[in-house]
Amino acid sequence: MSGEAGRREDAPGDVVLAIEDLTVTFDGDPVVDGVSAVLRRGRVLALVGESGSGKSLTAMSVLGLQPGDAVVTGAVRLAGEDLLQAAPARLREVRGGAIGTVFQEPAGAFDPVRTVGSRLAEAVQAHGPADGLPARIRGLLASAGLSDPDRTARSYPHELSGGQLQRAMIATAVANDPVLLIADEPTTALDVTVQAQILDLLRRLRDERGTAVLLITHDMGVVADLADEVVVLRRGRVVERGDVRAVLTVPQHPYTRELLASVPTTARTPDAEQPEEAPVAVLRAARVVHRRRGGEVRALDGVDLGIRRGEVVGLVGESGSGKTTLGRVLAGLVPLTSGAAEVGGTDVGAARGRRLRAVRRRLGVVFQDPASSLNPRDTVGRSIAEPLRLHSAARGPARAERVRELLDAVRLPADAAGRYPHELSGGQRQRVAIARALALGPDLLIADEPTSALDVSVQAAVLDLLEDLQQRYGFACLFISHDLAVVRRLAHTVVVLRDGRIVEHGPAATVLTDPADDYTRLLLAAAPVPDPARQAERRAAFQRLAAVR
Amino acid sequence: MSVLRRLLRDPWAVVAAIVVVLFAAAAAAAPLITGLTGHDPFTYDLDALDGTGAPQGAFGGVSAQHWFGVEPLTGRDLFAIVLWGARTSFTVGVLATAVSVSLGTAVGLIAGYAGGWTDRVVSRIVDVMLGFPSLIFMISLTAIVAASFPRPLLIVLVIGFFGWPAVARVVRGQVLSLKQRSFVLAAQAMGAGPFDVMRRQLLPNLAATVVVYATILVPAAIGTEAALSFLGVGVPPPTPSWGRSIGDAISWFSVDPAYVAFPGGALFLVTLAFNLLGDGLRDALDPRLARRRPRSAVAPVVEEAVTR
Repeated sequence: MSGEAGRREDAPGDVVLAIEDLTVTFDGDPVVDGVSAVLRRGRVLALVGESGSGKSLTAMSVLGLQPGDAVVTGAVRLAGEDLLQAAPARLREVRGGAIGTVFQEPAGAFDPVRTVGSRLAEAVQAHGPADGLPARIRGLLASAGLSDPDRTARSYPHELSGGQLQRAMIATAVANDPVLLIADEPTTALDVTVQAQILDLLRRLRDERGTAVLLITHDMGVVADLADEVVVLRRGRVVERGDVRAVLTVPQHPYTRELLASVPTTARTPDAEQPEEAPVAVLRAARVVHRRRGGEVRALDGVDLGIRRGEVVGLVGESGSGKTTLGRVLAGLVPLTSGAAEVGGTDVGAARGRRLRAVRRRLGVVFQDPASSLNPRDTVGRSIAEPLRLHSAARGPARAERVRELLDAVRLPADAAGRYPHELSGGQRQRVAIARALALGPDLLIADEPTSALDVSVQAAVLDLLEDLQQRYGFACLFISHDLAVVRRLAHTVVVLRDGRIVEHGPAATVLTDPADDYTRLLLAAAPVPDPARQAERRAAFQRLAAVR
Repeated sequence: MSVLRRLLRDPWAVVAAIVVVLFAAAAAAAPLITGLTGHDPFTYDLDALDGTGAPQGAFGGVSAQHWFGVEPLTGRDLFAIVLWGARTSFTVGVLATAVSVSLGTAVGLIAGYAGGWTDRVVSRIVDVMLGFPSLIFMISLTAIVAASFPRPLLIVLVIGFFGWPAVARVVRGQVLSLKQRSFVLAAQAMGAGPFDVMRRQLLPNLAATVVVYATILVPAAIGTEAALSFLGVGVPPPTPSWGRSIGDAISWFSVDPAYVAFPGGALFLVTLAFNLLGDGLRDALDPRLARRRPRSAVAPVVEEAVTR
């Protein structure tokens, strides 16, 4: 599986880094297994795979940063020198020198008690004389597209947005003119519009400085946007490699095809046949204001919304738009500052005690992170039975029977009831959470980013399941997501939220194909699609829209 | 199960557990054992003493008859005293810890879960309690309380009462972080009341912390009981107590240094063993310390997508 066939011998540029037969084992079992790849000057190589594929471990092994008990064999040649054999001092010279690194979570990569400028200064000084340091720092930050480099240099990490921090991190990574930039999921923690800008920045670095980029990502859209070549990893092995156009448009390996097929696409939208009946859930001029030091934050600012039985309302917005707050208001977890929130005719905000319990009986909630939404000390069966225990008289065999039914409904085997959450995969845990939310046959299901912590193939399965259950039981559903493609997959109606206000609200087909609002257009254009040619068009469209704003 | 296995892999914890179990068994079987040796801790044996009241023979009168020697002035069997002293220490230690842990857990849970004013008030009380000169308070309290009140019960209550703030503080912190987890939010969204959330969602997740804390509190309580008895305000004579024996032994140290060695050694061994066991338990219960490598979810994900 060393795959000579797919490698391009005619690729331009000198070889910057050659990974040869890299194998990383823990206790004798390989997690990365015989991976080879060649990175060339001015080219982007994407390592693609789902969690557990070994893509990050491969990149960390290049830098000698694998966990202590890992055994690494093979060769990693930087301009002919094998880094696996290099002395620790030499490796430190390479890290941040010839090889720059950008991590996933920009907020966690900066020291909270130091300014961004001092972090950059350190990066520069660690690798040589610091002549004209302030000017260099300013130049680096400006070249990373930060409009006010002086202010940014003086700022502490918490004073900057995620996108600004990621730009500053890229500035740090390229401070010493690296020949290679390792970008480990550089945009995963960012909003789509910010993602598009960061990808632009990486592209510019490649084109202007000729930096080779090793891009690690799970997102096929990001691959289509930025990569020149692709290596697809599955359980530590290379299953397919080649030019990005070839791999994404005519994938050879079944796994690559499955990955691509799992990406929710723009193609279909559910039929919109809405019976005109009274809505199950209503928000009227809903406002939620948090008082903070130095003023107020309006999480929700005058939102009107109705969700009917059988209807899936997709709620879309970037981080800070108030979409999670909206869901929690309907679940009675966040009180309204003013306005009204009703579920089944009862005011959720005003209800207390028995009446609030009665309302909650009629709604189910699925949270984003399946790892924390189940009590680790409860078996799956107990977790699913929790709402039954709280609200219904069913006990003993009747309750066990209902748990079996629910497990079957979410396509889990009956013996899963005896297992603990840590024994399940992320997708299975999310199924358990869905089963729990449906236990009492709710009128309203609130799903807050239910698939954003999952791999694409698992996400596709969970979305299929949700759609199927929704059609079978006909509950109303508030589906919250930052991902337009996911929303398109399920929603009849789409609501776009920005800074606590609804900017657009209408049938999914209309909003997602012919949006009336500029912001919706920008969001739509920013979401990358896994087809290099179409993505190039969309990128151009995004840049036009972003320029206008 | 894996907790036990991890615990068994820690040699110090295993040795400590054996010591604790041995002492506990000896304490429980004390009347039986002293019945066999024929010496109870109450009977005077003046024949074992010389004219000055010091024990006859080397090492405080160690002999085949009196394994640990005898007590000066009375000639009571020191082995029996140490053995029966273990009864006192364990009873007081375990009961006082039970008082501390139940009070502390309840208060910590409520403060952490309720938040707001409740939390602020409780936290300040905890701060005051932790800074309180508790030993002086205990001494004066034992002097004030009516003699008719059973002394051992008073000791248990007093020691237990001064142990809870530390537990409450730890439990509160744990609750604050658990409260952020989605499963607590999920339970609230399902309509679970505060009491239900505390009992069903929070308490099971606190168990590990509480168990570890309890094992570390037991030796502290044993030590406090010994200190009170040393000062003469602990369990009343003639109930054997390590602390009082040590206190008596101080004045005999130049004549009979062996007298302090046995009760002192027993106290030292038991507190050390409990502390080591607590450390071992904490490491075994906290997978983050025991885990040697962060193995990311081992990709059952693909099958899941295929087999659905």
